[in-house]
Amino acid sequence: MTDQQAAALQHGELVVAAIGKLFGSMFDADVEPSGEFSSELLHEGAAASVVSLVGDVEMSIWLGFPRQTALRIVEIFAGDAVPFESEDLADAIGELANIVAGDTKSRLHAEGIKTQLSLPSVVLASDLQIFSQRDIPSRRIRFTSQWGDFWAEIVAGVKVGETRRAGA
Amino acid sequence: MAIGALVVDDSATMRRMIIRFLKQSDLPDFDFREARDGEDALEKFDPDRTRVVFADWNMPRLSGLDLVRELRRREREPITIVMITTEATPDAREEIEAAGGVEVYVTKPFSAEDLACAVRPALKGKAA
Repeated sequence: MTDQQAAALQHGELVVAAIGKLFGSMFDADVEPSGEFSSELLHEGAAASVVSLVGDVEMSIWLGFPRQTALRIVEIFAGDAVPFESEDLADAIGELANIVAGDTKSRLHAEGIKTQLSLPSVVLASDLQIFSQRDIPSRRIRFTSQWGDFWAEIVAGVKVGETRRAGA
Repeated sequence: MAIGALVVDDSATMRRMIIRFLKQSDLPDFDFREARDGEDALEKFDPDRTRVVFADWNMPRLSGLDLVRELRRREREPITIVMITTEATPDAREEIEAAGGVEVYVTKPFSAEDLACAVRPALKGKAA
C-alpha cells in the first residue's frame, strides 16, 4: 500500500460522518456503522453508485443498497414509491452518493486536502457480485438503518470502473 | 397569490425533495415549475411570474453560474436566487460570491428546516 493509498483509507471516517449527516438531515434518521457487510444481501438485487475524488488524495466512494433497502430509502427520498429498475431509482441513488462525496470533499478541504469530484455512476442489478483487487486497498463499511442494511466502500487510488464487476 | 418558483436540478429526486420541503414549511405558498438543467430553466423562466429560483450549482449544458448571469440579465422584477450545491468548501463559496447575483446559498445535505431558515429572510415581501 502506498502512502497516498493509506491516507485515502484513513479518511474513511470522514465518509462515515458524511453518511451520518446525510441521513440525519435529509431523512431525520440515525444510521450506524455495524461491521462487515454480508454480500449475500446483494443476491436479491442491489443498487450502487460511485463517485471518485481526485486531487491531493485519490479515492472512490461507493454507496450501495440491497434491493429492498434501496426501494424503502428512495421512497422516503423521492416522496413516492418508484420501481427498482427505473431512472428515478438510479437518479436517487446517484444523488445520495453525490451528496456523500460532496460532503466528504468539504471535510477533506477543511483538513487542507483539495480534491475534485466526478459525476456519479450508478449500477442497478438483479444480482451483484463485488470483486476487490487484492493489491488495491479498500475499506467496506456496513451501515444499519431503519430501512435495512447498506454499505459504503472507500477504494484508494483507483479510477471508477477499475475494481468492480456487476453480473445480472 | 402563490409565489412563482422555478426549481432547477438535474436530479428529479432533488427537485421533488426541494418542493416537498418547501410545501411542508411555514413559508408562503409557491406555484412551482421544474427544470432539469440551466437551458431548460431559461425556457421555463417567466420574467412576469417567476419570483424565486432554486438552482443547483453543478448541472450539465449550462452551469448554475451561467444560469444566474442569464437570469439577472432577463429579470424584469427582482428575483431571489437560491443556490443549492454539494460544494461547501470556502473556494466554492468564494466563486459563487465573486460571481454575484446569488442571495441564498444552501449546502446539501439539508433538512426541511435548514432550507426554510435559509430562504425565509430573502422571501420577505414576496408573497402577494
